[in-house]
Amino acid sequence: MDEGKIKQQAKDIIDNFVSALEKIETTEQLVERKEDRRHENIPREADPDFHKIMFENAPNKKGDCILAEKGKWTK
Amino acid sequence: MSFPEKVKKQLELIKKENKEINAVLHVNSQALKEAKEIEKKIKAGKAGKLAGKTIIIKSNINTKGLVVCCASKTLENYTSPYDATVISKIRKEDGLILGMANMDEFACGSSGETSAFGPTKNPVKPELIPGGSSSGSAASVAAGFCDIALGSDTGGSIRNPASHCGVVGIKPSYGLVSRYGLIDLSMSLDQIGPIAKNIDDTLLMLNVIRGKDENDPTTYESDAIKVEKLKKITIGIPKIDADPKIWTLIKKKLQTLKNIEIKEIELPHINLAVQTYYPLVYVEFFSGTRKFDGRRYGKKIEEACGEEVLRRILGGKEISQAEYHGKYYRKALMAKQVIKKEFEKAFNQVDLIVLPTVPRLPHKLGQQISVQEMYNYDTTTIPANLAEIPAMSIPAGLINKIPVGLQIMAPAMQESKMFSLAKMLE
Repeated sequence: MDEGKIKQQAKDIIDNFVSALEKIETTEQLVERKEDRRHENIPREADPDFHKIMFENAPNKKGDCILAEKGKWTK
Repeated sequence: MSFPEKVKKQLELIKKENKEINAVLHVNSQALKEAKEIEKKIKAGKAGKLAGKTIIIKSNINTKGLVVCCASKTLENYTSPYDATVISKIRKEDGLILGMANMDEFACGSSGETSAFGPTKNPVKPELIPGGSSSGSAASVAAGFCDIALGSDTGGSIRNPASHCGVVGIKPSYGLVSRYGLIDLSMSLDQIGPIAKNIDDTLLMLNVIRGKDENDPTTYESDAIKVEKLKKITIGIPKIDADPKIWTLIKKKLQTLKNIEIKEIELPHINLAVQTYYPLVYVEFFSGTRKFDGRRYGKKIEEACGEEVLRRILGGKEISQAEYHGKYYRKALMAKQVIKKEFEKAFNQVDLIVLPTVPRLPHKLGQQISVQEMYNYDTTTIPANLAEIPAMSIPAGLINKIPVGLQIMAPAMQESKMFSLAKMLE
């Protein structure tokens, strides 16, 4: 795959699409939803399988930690 | 036939025919064992609403213990550690999950050809594409591998393959079904919905999976969806470009109804739906895929994905960098609002809107078509996602022995009205 070519193609597509949208007359409207927020204060039950499966999925582990940092932190 | 016998038969069918159709990526090795448990409940009269139904899930919906790979090498060996809300609801009602369906990679496609694990074939016409991105879900239903499948629909990904494979596919209203556990393509547009051979099975599944979920704050409380007797209805037909042969078939199908009034309606910006949709998808997909960095699971997405996924990531990155102009994403968001308002206005004049599900017949598998042509497959489905309204595809008939779908759109959260018309047309 030619990354440069794909990037240019994506840019051309978007420029073409957005220029078509210029014809639409719009005004910005902001909507703020105050209801239906998540209740973070309600504790959830932990699923022990989650830990086990995620550790099986992880490429780099050390003890009880998944090594997700880049560079020297992983060494 | 007992339920375990039915399951055994379908597993054998998958084993025999999936090599050719390539609709299923992973089979649930515990399916037969789980079927026996459900059978016990059926016999005891304690089974849930989905008991006796077999289900295949699109491979972008987290299903605990199964490989959920989005048909990408990025997540090739990713075992899901939890159930999406829709999966928890299915299990609670004793639905049996048979396996995970093939799809366009990360739902980026409209043909079923971008999967890293090979394209899915259309069971009705194997030389043609099955449509996408829920290609494996629709093909599994059409091939008889399962009773019901789940797909996701961001711009037509349930309705498009349902149309090409000759089955029923539903995109619910935005907020009707929780997306918690869905590996997103574009969070402001994605919806999960059912695909089945008949309307009743899609209705059954939609009633199970709908409802408010604290894990997805966009969801609402909703009433049970029912088929009602419609006395007199007005159906709106929008002016939108599609193959004249398909339009003729759709209009002919509508003529079979009694007590309806058909009215031509104006949706002035409907032909700009594709141009509105892609800037939104590119940006939200770019943002959503930043977690696929290969550090905690899977591989780095840019190093493992296919061309269409990379195009959307790079396009989204480009827009995000240029966003200080407010030129791309915000402009598209505002255009979305305009289209949404046009639909609201149209529904003041008509009860429902009917149009082709897909504007053209499917191309041959492997045939080269341009990116623009591929994107144009969704010109008639994207408007419902932008307007956040429900839409469904039902079989309208055949053209050259190729299935063609009729699409019904209804006002937001009025799925009952949509199903009622669908039943009249079934």
